Amino acid sequence: MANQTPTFFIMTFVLVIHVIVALTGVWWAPYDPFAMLSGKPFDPPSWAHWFGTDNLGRDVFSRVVYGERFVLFPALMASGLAAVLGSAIGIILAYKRSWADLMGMRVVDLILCLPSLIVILIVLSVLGSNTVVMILVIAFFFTWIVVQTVRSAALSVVTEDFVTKATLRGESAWSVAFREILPNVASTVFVEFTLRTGYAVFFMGALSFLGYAAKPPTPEWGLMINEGRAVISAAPWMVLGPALALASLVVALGLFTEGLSETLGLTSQRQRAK
Amino acid sequence: MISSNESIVRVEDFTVDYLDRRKWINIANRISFAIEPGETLGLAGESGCGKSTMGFSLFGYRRPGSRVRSGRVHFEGLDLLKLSERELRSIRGPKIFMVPQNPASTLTPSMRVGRQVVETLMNHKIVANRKEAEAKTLQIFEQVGLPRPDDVFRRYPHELSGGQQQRVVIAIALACQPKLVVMDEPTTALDVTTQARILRLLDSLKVDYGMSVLFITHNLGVLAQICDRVAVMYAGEMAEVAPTAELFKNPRHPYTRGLIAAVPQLNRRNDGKEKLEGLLRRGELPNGCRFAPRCRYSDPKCFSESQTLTAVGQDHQAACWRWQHVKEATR
Amino acid sequence: MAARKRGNEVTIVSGARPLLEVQNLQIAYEKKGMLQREEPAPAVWNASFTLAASETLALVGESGSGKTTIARSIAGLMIARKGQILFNNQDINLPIGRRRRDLVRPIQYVFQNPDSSLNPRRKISYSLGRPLEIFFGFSGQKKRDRMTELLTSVDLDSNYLDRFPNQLSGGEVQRVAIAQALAAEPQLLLCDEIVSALDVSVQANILDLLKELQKKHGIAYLFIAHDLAVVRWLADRVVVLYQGRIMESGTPEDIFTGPFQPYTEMLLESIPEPEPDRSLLSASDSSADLLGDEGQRDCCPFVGRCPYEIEAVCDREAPKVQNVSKTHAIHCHIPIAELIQKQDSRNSGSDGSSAVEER
Repeated sequence: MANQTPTFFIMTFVLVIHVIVALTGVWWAPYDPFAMLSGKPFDPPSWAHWFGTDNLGRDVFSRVVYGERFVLFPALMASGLAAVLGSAIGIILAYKRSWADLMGMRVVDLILCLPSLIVILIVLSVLGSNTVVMILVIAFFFTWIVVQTVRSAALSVVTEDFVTKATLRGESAWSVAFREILPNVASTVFVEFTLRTGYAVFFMGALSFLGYAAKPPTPEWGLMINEGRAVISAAPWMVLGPALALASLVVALGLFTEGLSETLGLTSQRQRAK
Repeated sequence: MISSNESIVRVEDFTVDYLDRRKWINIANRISFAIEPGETLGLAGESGCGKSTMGFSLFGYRRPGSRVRSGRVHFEGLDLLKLSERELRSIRGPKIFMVPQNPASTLTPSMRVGRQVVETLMNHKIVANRKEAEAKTLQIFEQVGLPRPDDVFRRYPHELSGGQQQRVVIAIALACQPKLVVMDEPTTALDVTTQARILRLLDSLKVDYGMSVLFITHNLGVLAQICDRVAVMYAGEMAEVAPTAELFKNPRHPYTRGLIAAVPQLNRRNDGKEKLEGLLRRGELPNGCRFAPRCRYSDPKCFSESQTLTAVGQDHQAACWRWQHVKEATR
Repeated sequence: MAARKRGNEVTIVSGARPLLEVQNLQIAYEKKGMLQREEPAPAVWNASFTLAASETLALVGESGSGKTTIARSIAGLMIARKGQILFNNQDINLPIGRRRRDLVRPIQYVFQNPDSSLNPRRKISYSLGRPLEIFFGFSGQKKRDRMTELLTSVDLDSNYLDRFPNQLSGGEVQRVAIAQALAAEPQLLLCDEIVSALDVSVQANILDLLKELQKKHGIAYLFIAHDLAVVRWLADRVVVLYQGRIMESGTPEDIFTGPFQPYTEMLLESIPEPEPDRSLLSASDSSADLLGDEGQRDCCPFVGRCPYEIEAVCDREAPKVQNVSKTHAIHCHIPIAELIQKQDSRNSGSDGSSAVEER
């Protein structure tokens, strides 16, 4: 940890703030986010309203605070699901190394060539856009990215003798994957998880901006940005508030992931005591 | 230490530490030795003794996280430890050539081997033009025993066997005609029959080119065959230095004795009398002789007084004040 | 007939039949491709040997000799294309996943590289415990006691249980690996170059340990090595391999005294002994490095390098087996008497004594 840059610590701090807000925001937000006319409409930021008010006089800051959980939790769920499924599939594929693996990876390459946002939009149009569907669809796409990364990390582990020993003990593929291989790719999995979370946040923001997820009056950031778009020249703070929140979350996740993977990458587990 | 002013390289009092997970570990402690012109000096020792890392440190390959605490490395009137990176670069290659353990790390994988030798010859201005360089390359390839030189010329490193790759590296070394060649376990990764052939090659080249060689390896058998003198290291310190024949006939330092006794031999069963016990634990070294914890001839003084090389015979030095006692006990 | 009780099994051990029988084994690395027109050349041709309980058979050869391939076949990591592998008279030429449970446990493998031998993210107690859990269903204190017992038998104390592999030296890791193999109470231990990556001073200790364990438990060792000197005092019998073929087999005595199979002779001359006598350097060497595209198939693999080669014979047929004695067999076209003559005149030509014992 001594090698970490100040940036890493700042980003970690920012993330912690986001998590706290997501978990507890509903209890200490200064105003009811749904209460119209808690202030004059289109009021600029002031001591009373830190992010000003929107077109219906609602306090933007409270709405941002409230909206954190609509972004962070679904994102975590989508990336969590992708991490779990993707790791399982990735490790098994690396371990089995059969022709199915080679064919499968070509299919994955194809899937990943598609412009994911557009495909997700199409799917959501067909399946209907609610949070659960959104999480599942995003998780589906991310799973395959995780499969690629984890499989590649696992490939260098499966050739190790201790894995061969487990095979020679007659252990099943799942037993070997979970007990022997997973602990050795855990850092890769975790880094993928945080990375995917950043993308998930971004995707969900985009989806709700386009109106595919939350519905008004939900204080979802993407939606808020869309709502504030029309009056951006008159009341830019309506967009700024949620945009800053969204951006800070995505950037913090990204830089946190970078710092994390550097630390983990530098960790040498193979130095032998002489 | 007999080192005339004509020594190719003279190392004095060299001490270097390495940073390992926030702790400074002493890798080499007050090492001194010299290499004479045309001589092959072997540097022996087991893993953890510091021979490889020291070999590289001496010639300016400083790993980040290392500090040279003291010492001088005299080469051609200069102290290598005081030179800048730029000055060192003009010495590495043409004057001092390093052959690492893995030939693949010296050879560029994406360039045909013939061209790599040609480039070296041209970069160091050893020849006048490309045509000369190519002719000389083929000539050197033949000298190092590569089969079908014009065929090998066009091959990539991965299209050659380990032994052949090592021959190419030796060819590049010869092309540079350096004063000193430092070899770090050059044959360890090779099959034993290939190793024998490479050693024969090195021996014949020694005669033809008169190169001085620092040969670093843990394999005592190899050292016995190819070196003129051998220096044995233990835990970063010099334990014994002697001409090869003398060292193997009359090893004086208890560690050397144990090491020689441990080598499996075809015609003699190794008895347990001189067996090396215990392990080198770098975290638990005493202030005195570093071998004391494992030494069967040690006494309390050994643990507190550090040892330096003292004469125990003609041109033969050992860092053990009890060497005479050891000599008597093992007569 | 002797009966030994192990765990809940009672194994009948026959005095007469060998534990392991390998017959006419041919093994090839099958390429996993869709378009496969030519069959890849075998890595092992027609290998046969036997191993009895409590015996050590050394497979010696350089890279490409096929020694590891044979071991991996016996273990079940590869299948032999032709030939038979019999263990306790049962056919085990099957991948490990298709072998019966009671044929998996008695064959254990110890690997070469201490850095990959144990799971670096797991404590020693985990690695030692797995075979106990899987083969005997041990758990809790019983498991822990047995692990301590196993560590003691390899001269390590119970403190090691809570350590991680990166805290152990190479020699200590190999000891744990041996203990791990012993945990299964094997009849056959496949030792694949297990001391090659260790310092020479540590090697001797491990080899002594192996001998002790063999005496105590009656385990048979298939000991793979590239260094003849290492197996000299450990093996009961030695098999020398070159490019997938057996060149010579016999007791260590047989192998190290003449007559020598020409490849074995070259191998012995190449071993650098810690005797400052330049014997290695002065040995005459007419062989050259081959570029590897001179692919040979059904002939003596030593063609092109053998100092005694007979043209139109050695490059046409596989070498014949000649029995020098009841225990000693040489695979060579040259009749033994002639071979002895040629080797004597060659050795008297070179100067200095060689590391090889005089007959």
